[in-house]
Amino acid sequence: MSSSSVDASGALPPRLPSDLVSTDSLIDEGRLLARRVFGAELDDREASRYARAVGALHLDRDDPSGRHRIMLHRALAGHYDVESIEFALRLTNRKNPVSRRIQTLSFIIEGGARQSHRFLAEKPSPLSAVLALSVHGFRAAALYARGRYALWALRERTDV
Amino acid sequence: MCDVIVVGSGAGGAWAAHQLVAAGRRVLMLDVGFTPGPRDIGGAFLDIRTGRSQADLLGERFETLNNVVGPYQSPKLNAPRFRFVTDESERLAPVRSGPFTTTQSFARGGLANAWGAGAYRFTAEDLKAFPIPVGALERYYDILTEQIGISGQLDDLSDHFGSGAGLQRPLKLDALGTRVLRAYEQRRASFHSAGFTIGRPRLAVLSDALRGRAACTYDNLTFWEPTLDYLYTPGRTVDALMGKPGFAYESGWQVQRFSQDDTGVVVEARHIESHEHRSFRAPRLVLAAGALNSARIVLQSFDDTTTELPILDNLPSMVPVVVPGLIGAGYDRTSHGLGQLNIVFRPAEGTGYLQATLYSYTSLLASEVLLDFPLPVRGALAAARHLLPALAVVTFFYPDSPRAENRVRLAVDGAMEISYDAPPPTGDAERRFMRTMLRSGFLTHPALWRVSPRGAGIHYAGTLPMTERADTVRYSTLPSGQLRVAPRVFIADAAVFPALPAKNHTFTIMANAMRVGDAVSASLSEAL
Repeated sequence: MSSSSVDASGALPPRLPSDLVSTDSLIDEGRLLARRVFGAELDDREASRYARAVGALHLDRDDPSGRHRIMLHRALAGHYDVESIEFALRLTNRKNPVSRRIQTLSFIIEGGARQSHRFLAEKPSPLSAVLALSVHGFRAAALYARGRYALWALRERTDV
Repeated sequence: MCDVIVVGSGAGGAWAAHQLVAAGRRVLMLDVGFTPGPRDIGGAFLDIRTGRSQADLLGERFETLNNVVGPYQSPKLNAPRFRFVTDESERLAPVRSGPFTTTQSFARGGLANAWGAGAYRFTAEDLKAFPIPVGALERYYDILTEQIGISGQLDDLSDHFGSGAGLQRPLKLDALGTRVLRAYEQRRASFHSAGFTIGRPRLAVLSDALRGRAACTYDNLTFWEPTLDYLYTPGRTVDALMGKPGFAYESGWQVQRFSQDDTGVVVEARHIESHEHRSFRAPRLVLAAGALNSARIVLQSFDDTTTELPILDNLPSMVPVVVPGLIGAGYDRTSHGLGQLNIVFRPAEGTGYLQATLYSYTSLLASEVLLDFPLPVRGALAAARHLLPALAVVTFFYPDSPRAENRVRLAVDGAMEISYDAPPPTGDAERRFMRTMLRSGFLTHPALWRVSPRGAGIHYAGTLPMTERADTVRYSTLPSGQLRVAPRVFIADAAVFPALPAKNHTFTIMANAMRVGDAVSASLSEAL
C-alpha cells in the first residue's frame, strides 16, 4: 500500500487518466472516499480489497473516457463535498460510475465487519432513529443543492 | 447395465430416480454435479457481520457485489458459497436471450440449491391447462411432505394451498411478520374486500427435527449457506440414493444428445474436464436437466435448428412496505431469509390470482440496498440501521401461459436463442395492495414498485409441454411425460408444464417427477 501521493490535507493531486488505474491510486482513492463519504477509516486490508474489487468488477469499463474518475479525483483534491456530488449524480442516474464506486466501498466496509455499527443497530433505539432520520431528511435537501452546485463548479472550473 | 438413465439431479431428476430405485429399477444418474465444497460458513449471520465469527461474505471474486455492475439477480445466487449453483453455466449452456435474463445450473441438486423453499401444491385451478387431474399428484405431494418436511398451518390460505396433511408446525414468525399478520387479522374484512388473503407460507424448512436433520435455528443464513440442515434441497435426496443398491451417480458428464433404437436409448455425453466422449445405453431415458437444457438435448438429438418451442416464466415484481412500529427496533437476530407470509390477490372482477411472498430484510448485507434510499450516504447508513428492521419486501409472482411471441430455439452454433416479449404488468394488484397497507397503518408508495427483468423469476417451464393432442407442438409429451417423437424418452422437469400458475413450481416438479418415474417403471414392466 502507498500513501505517498496524499498530501497533508488528505487531498489527492489531479492525475492523468493513465495514472488513475494503478493499484496505489485506487488504494488512495478508497481511503479518501471512506473518510469523506462514510466518515470511516479503511485499514490496509480493506483499502487493498477496494482496489482489487474495482478491478475485478471492471468498474472503469462504464467510464471508458475516465470522465467520472477524473471528476471524482478533482473533487477529492479540491475538497469538494463528494457525498453531496454522489447524491446529486445518483438522483439523476442510480447506476452512475461514481455511485458504483461508493456502493463497492460500502460492501468492502460492511464485509470487513470491523465497522458493522455503521450498517447495523444491534439494540433498539426508536427515539434516536426518528431523530436521525428526520435530520438526514432535511440534510438530504441541503446536500442535493450543494451537490448540484459542486457539479456545476467542477464542470466550469475544469474540463470534465 | 442399467434400466434407466436419468439426466440431471435437480428437483425432477432426484425424485424421478427416487421412485425408480424404490421400484427396484437400476438407475444411472448422469450429471455435471458441481458441489459447494465441504466448508460451511459457520456462525450466525449477525456473528459474521459483526466479526465475532470470521467468514468471507464478499467472495474471492467479489461475487457478492455482482449487482453493483451486472444485471440484477437474486443476491442468494451472488453469495460466495452459492457460486457452485451457476458455475460454468454460461460456458456449458450458452443462451442468447436479449433482455430476458437466464439462470441455469449444473450443480448437484440443480437450481433448487438456491430456492426459496416455498412448497406449494397445485390445486385443480392451477392444473386447469394440464392434461392430468389433481388426484394424479396428491399422493406424491403427501409422500414428499412426509419425507422432506414441510412447515405451515391451516389458515385463510388453506383452500389456496390444498391439503395440509402431514405439515409440521409453522416456523416462528419474526417481529415484522407478526405485525403484518396481526394487522391483517384485525382488518380482515378490509383486506378481503380489496381482494387480498394472507396466511403462513408452506416451506420445506423444518420447524421440528426430522430423520436426523435439525430444526431451523433462525440464524439468518439462508442467503449465505447452501447446506443448512433445516432447509431441504434435492441434493439431499441424491445423496441418500447413493447409499442404495441399484443407484449409480456419475458426475462430470454433460449429456449432448440421445438416439433410440428397437431395444433402448443411447446417450452421448462429454466429460467437462477430460472432454472424453462416451456413450451410455439403457432401455429408458429420463431427461430432467431443466426446462431449457432438456429442450436443448432434445433439439440437438434431432439436429433441429428451426423448430421454435414455447417458454414460460413467472414474472416477479416487488413492493417495499415499512412497518412504522419497528423503525429503530434493531436487527432481528432470530429470523430467516425465507418467506414470512404469503399474500394471495384475487380480483373480484376477474379470474385467476397473483401470489406474493413477504420477506424481512434480515439475511442480506445493507450495502445491497444502501443507495436505494433517496438519501446521501450518511443518511442512507442511518436508514440501514433504523429502517431495515422495519422493511418488508413483498414479491408478487405473475402466472404465465404460452404466447406466440415467447419462443426458444437451438441456434446452429449450439446456443439457445430466446425471444420473450410479454407485455409489462399493469401493477393494479400492487397498487391496490399498497393502498390497503397504507389504510392499515403501514408506509409505502406506488413509486417504489419495481418490476424485475423478464426471466428473473427463474421458473422456466413449458418447452416440451404435456398435451392431450399430438398436433399442437412438435416436441410435446404425453401426460405420462413420454416424449411423443421418442417413446423411450421421458421428461421429468418443468419442461412438461403447459402453463405456470403464480406459485413456486418446484414442489410440483418433484411430485410430477415421481409420477413420471412411476410411469417409466410401468413402461419397463409392460415391455417385459
